[in-house]
Amino acid sequence: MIHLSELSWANLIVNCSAVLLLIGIVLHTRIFRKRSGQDDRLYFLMTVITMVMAVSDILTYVMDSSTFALAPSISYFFNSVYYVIFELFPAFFVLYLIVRRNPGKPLSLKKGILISLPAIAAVGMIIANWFGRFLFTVDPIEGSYTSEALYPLIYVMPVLYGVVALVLIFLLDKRVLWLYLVLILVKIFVGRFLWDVSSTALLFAMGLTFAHIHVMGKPIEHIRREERA
Amino acid sequence: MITVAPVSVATVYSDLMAFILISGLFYMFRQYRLWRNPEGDRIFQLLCVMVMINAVSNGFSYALHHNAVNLPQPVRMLLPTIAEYSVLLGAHVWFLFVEYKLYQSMDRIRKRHMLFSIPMVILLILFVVNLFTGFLFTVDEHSNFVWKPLFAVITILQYTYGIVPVGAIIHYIRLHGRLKFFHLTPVVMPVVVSCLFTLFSVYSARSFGFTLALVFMHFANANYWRFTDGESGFFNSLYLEEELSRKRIGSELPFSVDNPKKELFTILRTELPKDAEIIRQTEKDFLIIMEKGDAAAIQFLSTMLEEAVSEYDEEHPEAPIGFSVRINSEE
Repeated sequence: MIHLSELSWANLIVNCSAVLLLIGIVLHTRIFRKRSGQDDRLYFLMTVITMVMAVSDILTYVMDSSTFALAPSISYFFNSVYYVIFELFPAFFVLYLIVRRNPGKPLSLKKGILISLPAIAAVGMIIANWFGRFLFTVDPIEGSYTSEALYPLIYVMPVLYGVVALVLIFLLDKRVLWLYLVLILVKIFVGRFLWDVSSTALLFAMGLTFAHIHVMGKPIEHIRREERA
Repeated sequence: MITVAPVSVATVYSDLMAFILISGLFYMFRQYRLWRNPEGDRIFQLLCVMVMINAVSNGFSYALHHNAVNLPQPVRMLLPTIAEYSVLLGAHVWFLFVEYKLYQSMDRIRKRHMLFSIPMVILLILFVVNLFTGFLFTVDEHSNFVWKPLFAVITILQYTYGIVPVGAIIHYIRLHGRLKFFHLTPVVMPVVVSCLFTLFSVYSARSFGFTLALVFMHFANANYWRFTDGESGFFNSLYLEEELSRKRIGSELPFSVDNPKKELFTILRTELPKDAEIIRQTEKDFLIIMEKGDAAAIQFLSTMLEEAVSEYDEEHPEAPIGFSVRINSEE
């Protein structure tokens, strides 16, 4: 039996919105994916993992509200998937911005792995939580989710990558910087001080939307400059 | 002190997100000068403004739910009135936008605008009367909505205005083939899902649904501008680059003209089969590509175009188009 609380409904709506936004992004970026550029592939990867993140988040809330025997284990699994993507997405976004900053110079695999190492370590930490339960836990009987003492560690790598990403966005095109700042501030202030709505996947999806509009805008600006010249 | 009730959090949050997303969209399209078509864009901007108004008024009115607000009744009813009327106005502008996108004619809209606007004016009067009488809906002492049976008519109208343009798009696609870069599903799906959700639950996610539809309509527009030639409406060389990278071209016919003018574009549009894609590589150089087709099909196309253009040239010897096939095909 599933009984969703009012706040779970809010999470469900926000995450479903993220999924709908991402489905549209996947469809509309088809023509860009055909170029098979490194940035296009990274963008597609980010879109897919954000979709997985949103679906995992939906399932954790559904499982938290379920009473069948396997629900706590499934909830734990999807919580782990959610956090793994939470750690990986910012690293991929930094890689994406680096590739966008250097058009025509693909990033080597070695360099890519080196930049992603902190995120990989953070993923290791999420996997290690399975044995120690030092970050979060899901009650095996009631299925309720609880943050543990070292939970803030989850935020360390995304925050670091976030700062690097903001610097890269500033260097790439400072006109879009404030949009990303607004997204981050909304996440921090609304999430921390108003309502605990799990909106990370939606905010990632919105960040991807702005990134795509930026990609669409660039060639047109380039063509216009040529026309003016 | 106003406290947002847990039941309103979902609505207020999705309205806030809708507002941020649409503001970002608006800002980026202004910054990158992605507005290319002054007439169509004006309608689109109006549509964005309508959704913004809906998000703000709906968000605030839901935030006030379960709160006792010490204000006169008409003032307390103002926010839900704006929220509901903006849905109708938004649907009306969406109607106009679809009309424009399909037929690219402001004259057509001007002619029909009055007809479309009359119901809006009548509804505005009804909404104003409702502020003082509450015959459609009202708000109780805790700022919660109380719907009256007559409001069902307004709801039906809101959805009718939303559904008719979708029907028009489907009808157009059946008549003229797919719209370039436009995907109907991501535009319609969020609207349908959010409207059903709003109808059958205590939450209202309509403005976010509308916002998603706007985002994808904009994506379609931007892709269209990015990959098409402004003068002829055919694909540009950038599109050719994307197509070549896919290696999916079955056959191609490169040709040049001495005098590229509107009449040539009309000939190309009317004479060529639907699966042929026309690319304007430079001002005078064109390329027709087809996913399928062989040398015989290309020869047939070439002869057909040559005949159509020479017929035009004979009729207009003072300014002929001057058609010639370029011999640089790989076939």
